[in-house]
Amino acid sequence: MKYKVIIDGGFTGIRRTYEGDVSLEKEELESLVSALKESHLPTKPPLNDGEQYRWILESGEDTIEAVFDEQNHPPTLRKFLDEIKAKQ
Amino acid sequence: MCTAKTCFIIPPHILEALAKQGNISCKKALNDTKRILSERNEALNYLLLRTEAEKDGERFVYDSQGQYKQRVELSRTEDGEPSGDTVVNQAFETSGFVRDYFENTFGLNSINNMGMPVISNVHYGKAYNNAYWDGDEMTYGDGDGIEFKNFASAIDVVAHELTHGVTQFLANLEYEGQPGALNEHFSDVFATIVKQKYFNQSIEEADWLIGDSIVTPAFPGTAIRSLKEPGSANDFDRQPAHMDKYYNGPDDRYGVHINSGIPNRAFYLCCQEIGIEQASLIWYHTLKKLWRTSNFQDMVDIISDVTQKLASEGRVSDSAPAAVSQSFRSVGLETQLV
Repeated sequence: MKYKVIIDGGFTGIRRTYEGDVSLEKEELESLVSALKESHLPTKPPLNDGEQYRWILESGEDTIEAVFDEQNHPPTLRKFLDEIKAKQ
Repeated sequence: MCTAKTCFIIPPHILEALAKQGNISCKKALNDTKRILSERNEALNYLLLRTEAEKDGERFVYDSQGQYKQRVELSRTEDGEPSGDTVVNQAFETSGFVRDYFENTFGLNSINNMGMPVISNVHYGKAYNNAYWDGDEMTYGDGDGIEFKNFASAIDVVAHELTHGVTQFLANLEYEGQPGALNEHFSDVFATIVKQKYFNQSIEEADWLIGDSIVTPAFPGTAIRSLKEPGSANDFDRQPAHMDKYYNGPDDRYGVHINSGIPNRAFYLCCQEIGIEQASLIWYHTLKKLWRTSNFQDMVDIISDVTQKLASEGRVSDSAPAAVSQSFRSVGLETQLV
């Protein structure tokens, strides 16, 4: 599975991109896809200096793209992002 | 006109349009409406928090313990003993310094002028390279230790975040486009002022940098932003110093941390002419007059008006109005007031 995560905004205002290719167990992939499909922008005003997360996952012929704010970034995606950041 | 929670005789968008055309009573009505709504919301929040906060502007520092959650463990209170955790104590000390600056300088009773508790969350998330204001409290990451470190320890970062709170209650500038860039601008302005107070620096001694103490030697730059030379703080710094380089794209909520470089540069130039004390008074009173959708032109018009008034009252020098106008003219912004 190919992934690309773009983190925008935040106090630093520095855009950061993480991308790569990982092999995931079926359950793990389903969990990520499920989290991405729950994507919705929050109804609250954005946090001052909150980050925005744009996710793009490519698995087979499917591409899923979703955007989250700090307030609604799913824990599953945060955990995956922490793991890929730690590997870089 | 009624929304689910509020009724207006004149819809806010009409008040905003009239305010932009210079109708002072509409500006006042708009500001009053926003203030009343904010105060009502804050009063409700305050009632919920009252068991924690018995004194005005009390500080509470929570340890997120590496989780993406706020208020995980209360680690220090206003009258409590220092924590064994240095970061907790740093957040406590820096947030108190900023709160006291606003109180001693402008008579502001905490963030909302109603004694709102000053709540900080530290150790948020894992290697989290950020700090933010969420409408009620501040949250700080420890940084990844590679390029960023300990956001809660930096007086300018803490002042920046706490000023977002002050701005929310004084002007409620929306966080997108030019109002968002002004929101960021005021946070950088008071971060710089507080930083110079904290280190007891003159404007000649000051570095006019934001976030210089949270970057490591591995970071490709000396800081996050520069008010003196926007765009020069690091390799990623896209801040313009003039309207002719204005960023029009969608990144960063249409450039809130990017275009703030333009008024930031004007503030720096103004301080060189009239000093930081007069400039801080002018900027604070300008913030009080702005409204949710204020843009750069509104800011220039209001700051011109505010400076004239402060000069006529003898609170700033007679040269201040010309200095303010020239500073904004230097970055490509001119007042349209006659």
